[in-house]
Amino acid sequence: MKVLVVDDEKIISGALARMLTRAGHEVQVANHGVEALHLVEAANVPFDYCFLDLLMPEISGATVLDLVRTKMPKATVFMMTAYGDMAVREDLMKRGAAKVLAKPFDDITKLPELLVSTYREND
Amino acid sequence: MASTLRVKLVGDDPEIIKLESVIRGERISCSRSLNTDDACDSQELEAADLFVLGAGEFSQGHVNQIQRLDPAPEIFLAASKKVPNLAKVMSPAILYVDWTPEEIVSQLEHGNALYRRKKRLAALRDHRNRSLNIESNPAINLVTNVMRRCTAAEQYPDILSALLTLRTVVDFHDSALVTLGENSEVLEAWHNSKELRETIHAVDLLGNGATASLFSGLEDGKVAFFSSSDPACATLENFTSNPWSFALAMRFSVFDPPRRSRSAKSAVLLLYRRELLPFVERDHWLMELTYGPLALALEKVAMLKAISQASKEWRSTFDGISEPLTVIDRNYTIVKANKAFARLVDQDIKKLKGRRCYTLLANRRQPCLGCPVGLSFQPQVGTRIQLQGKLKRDLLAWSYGIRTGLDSYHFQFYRNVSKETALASTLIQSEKMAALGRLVGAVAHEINNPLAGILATSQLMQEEAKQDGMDPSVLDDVEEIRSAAWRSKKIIDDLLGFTSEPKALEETNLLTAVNSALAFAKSAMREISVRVHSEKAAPKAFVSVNSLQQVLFNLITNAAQAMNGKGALEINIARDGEYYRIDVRDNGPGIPQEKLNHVFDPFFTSKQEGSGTGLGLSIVKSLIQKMGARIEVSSCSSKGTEFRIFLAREHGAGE
Repeated sequence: MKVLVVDDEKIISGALARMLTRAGHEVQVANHGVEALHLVEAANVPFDYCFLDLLMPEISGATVLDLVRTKMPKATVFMMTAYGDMAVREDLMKRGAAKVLAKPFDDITKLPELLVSTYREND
Repeated sequence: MASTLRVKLVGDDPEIIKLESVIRGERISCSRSLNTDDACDSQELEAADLFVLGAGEFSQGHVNQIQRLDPAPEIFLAASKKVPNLAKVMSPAILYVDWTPEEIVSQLEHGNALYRRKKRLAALRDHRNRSLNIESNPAINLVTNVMRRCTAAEQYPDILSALLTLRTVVDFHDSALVTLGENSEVLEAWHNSKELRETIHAVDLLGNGATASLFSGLEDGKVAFFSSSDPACATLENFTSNPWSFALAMRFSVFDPPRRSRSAKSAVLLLYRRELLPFVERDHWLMELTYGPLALALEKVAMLKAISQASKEWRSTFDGISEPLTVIDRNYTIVKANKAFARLVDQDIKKLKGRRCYTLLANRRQPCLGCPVGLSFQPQVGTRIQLQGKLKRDLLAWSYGIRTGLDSYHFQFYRNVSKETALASTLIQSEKMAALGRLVGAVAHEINNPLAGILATSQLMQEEAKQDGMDPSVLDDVEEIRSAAWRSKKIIDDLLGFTSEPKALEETNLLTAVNSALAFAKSAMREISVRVHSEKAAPKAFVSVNSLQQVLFNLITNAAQAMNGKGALEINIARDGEYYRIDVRDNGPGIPQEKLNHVFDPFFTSKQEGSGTGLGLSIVKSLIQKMGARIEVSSCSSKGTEFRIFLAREHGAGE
């Protein structure tokens, strides 16, 4: 599977990338919103999964989400946020996010299982 | 003159028999009794002025008995030549039966004159006593009563009715009050109540014309004299059932200040005499002195009434104002204070006068700092004064000076702003809470990102270590890092839970909520043993987690404060019908029954001033209500207090 990980915190994007690579996915990492937009624009093959941080400098995760939704309608997008209230969560879900993950994750090792479960749902 | 002689012969002595025949010949009103007892008893039916005793009835005892009669008749002894020695000692008037009838009659007439003189002297003495004794002088009594009633004249619709209260007074004296209409015709009359009702009706029939001319000549405040023998007074003949001889009259006209004109109605006060004793000059000036001012003062009385009305209105307005008001003199002594002020200082309103305002308000020996009194005789901006001591309050005080003659008074207006101040501090508090919430949110975000990295990386390291193999000590260190990061995450979660807006109802594990609240209240629970008991391992109810945590936190810290930091706290979770019930029980001193109804009231606090806002339990109540839940409290003095929260087990069950 082709996965995009976007987070301005390198430690998070790095850990996620490592986790997902180990699980056998093809992972591309962007360290800020602008880079993420470039990656999405430039992608020949659409991403299957995206992990997008919500709060990033300049370009927010929500903007990236909108682009992903238009360019790659089939992609499953997980939003990540360190502090989001109900309203923000609902807004993101409306804009097409599959799930809003609260940071810190309870257990990062469970993430591959999450991908599997959502993939099945998509089928 | 012989016809006026009324003689009673007592006894059956030959001298009496002889006298009887002599007197009958002279056509003198005469009767005979056999003994003194009969003579005295018959006095009521047939009065006699002169008693003639036979020698057989003549004794000191009988003389005394006769002299006790009222009026006491003159006593004669009927005797032949020889007078008993005893009689000489008592030296009575003696009728010698041997005298000629002319001599006997002359002697009797002399006795009668003596009798009448004595009677008149007694009457004069009696009159003098009555005139001089203020208590028993009907005139003075009457006017005192009237003046007293007129002073309290608010109760009378107009001044005439005030005057007519004379009626009650009139009842006690030989007097009458007549009200006259426009043309001096008699409208009503009131008499001494001893008069028969029929007579009073007869007064109504008094001929208008004659009475009118009789009364129309009367001048306000001047005494007029009437005599029953005067033909002009013939219309007053049937004025009373008792025959009257002389009367004094005075007219009262009613002055109506609003209309500035004499009203048509007037009243005439009549004092009359039954005795044939004319009023003397003394009675004239007595009546003029006592009633004259009343007659002339009616205008003043009406004014007095108006003033008293105004004063009453002012008083009730003053008292009716719900904010505390006082009038103080320049020595800070209270001249007047209203009920609200009495309530403010928690004193009896009657005991306020003469006290110093600063003593009452602040228990000080000198004026409060920043006291506005005397600063200005102009209206000014309110000065905030803070009262310490047992009446700890924030007051806003205004002072206006009033100059009256040489004195100056100050009108104080207070407003108790304790609640506003408390509210303001509560607002500041909630403002602080909101700021804290934003800060926590920002910090949480800033910390959560690196924390997420630490946690994720440590988890990843552990995961990789399982496959790749790693130095066990390093693995332990990684686990330390992971668990520390995990604990930090939990702390931030809890902080967010407390500061964020209340969320929608969701199924929540109550035990978790209780434990979370307990963890937060930890600092207050140092020496308190806590026991949590739950019927089920995971009791679940539909609540707003944040609200419930806040509620439990408030209840727990309240309990801890009530127990003064030492005691036992018990939290019990049990099913109760369609609810889950959480009981929070302490073994503190309890809440008195009379305060129990107010514990949920805002600003109600049993804590020391300054240590509580009095809002904790009202927040609890409002949060509980927002959740559609219910809270109860019960308390037993010295055994402790128990709060019970009822939470719906099914969604919507509690609404």
